[in-house]
Amino acid sequence: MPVTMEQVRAHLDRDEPDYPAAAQLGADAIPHLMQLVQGSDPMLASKAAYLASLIQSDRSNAVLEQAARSSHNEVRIAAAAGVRNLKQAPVPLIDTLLKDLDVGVRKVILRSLEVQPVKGLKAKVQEIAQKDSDAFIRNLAKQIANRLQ
Amino acid sequence: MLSLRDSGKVVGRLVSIRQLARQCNLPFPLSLRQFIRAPGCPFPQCTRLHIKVLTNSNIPIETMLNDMREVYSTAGIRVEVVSREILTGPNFTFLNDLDVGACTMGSTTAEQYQLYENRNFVGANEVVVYFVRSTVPPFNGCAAFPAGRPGAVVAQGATQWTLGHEVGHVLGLVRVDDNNRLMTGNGTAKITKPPPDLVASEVSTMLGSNLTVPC
Repeated sequence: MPVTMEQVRAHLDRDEPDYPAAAQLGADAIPHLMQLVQGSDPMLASKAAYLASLIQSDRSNAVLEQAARSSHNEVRIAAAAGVRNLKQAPVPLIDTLLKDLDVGVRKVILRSLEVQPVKGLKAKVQEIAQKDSDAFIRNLAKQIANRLQ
Repeated sequence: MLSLRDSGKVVGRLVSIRQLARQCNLPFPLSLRQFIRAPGCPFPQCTRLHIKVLTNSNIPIETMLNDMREVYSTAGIRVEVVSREILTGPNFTFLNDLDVGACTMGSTTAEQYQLYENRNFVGANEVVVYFVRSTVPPFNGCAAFPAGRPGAVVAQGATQWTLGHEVGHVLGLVRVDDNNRLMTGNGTAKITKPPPDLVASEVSTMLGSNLTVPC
């Protein structure tokens, strides 16, 4: 049976969504999540982005890529957090988030790499460890670079 | 001395000064100092909050407090704000998008542990509420706290009822499937017929909590 927006909202409208339960909606929820990520409610958009990351669909990446372009910091934070849930996070998406002007986004994407290391990013993270404007980010990047290939 | 606002003694619609005096068995004209200091008045029990702000919420904190007080007053509980603190600086920048994991009572992340170490001015049996920019994963709020440090986190995009709802969890309340009630698990934005209700069993739980103390 197709998933409706009402079903998606029933999960995401909660103050404390049960994300694993919501992920059971499956790939049919992705178009609704994309719509919410593009909507005007940043709290809902952030929840939608994170939920998309938990649904193991080849369309989840597109939702996170859209979220990573949001003008709302909290939506980009959710995209950065969602990266840790993807089976194969696209390197361009991670690169975008590593370059984000908001230090919170950079922190969260680095934490995601700590949880779910991705190949091919060691040099990039080492560069951040040397050059980021923020001392906390430099320290965090240094720790994480050591674990990357 | 607490301000009248932070004392939580005036809730809901404005009442006359004479009515306030009568409620508290105090003489009229009413002395503000006497009114604020009068124990057990107008409610016998208090929940004492400490507000610590990393990021201001979109709904003003005063609105959330007033709404929380309106609901808690139905349980005979006064919500007193004992202290307010703004948490700034590099140490807090990195806690402003707080990792809360699954937001499970009894289980906290390293970041939650670090944030909840900030307990300036907090006494025994008092609750701290941290206002942050976001949580990771995204929640309106999270009431999981490290042992011995009762408190909750409220995100910037929370609703007007999230504060009361999360502190409700801290006092031992669980989610319900009823949008007329504060503890609705369906989303406090869906609360119908505000102010939302507390039922008798919830009031008992709140009054039985060690975080609800005689005023």
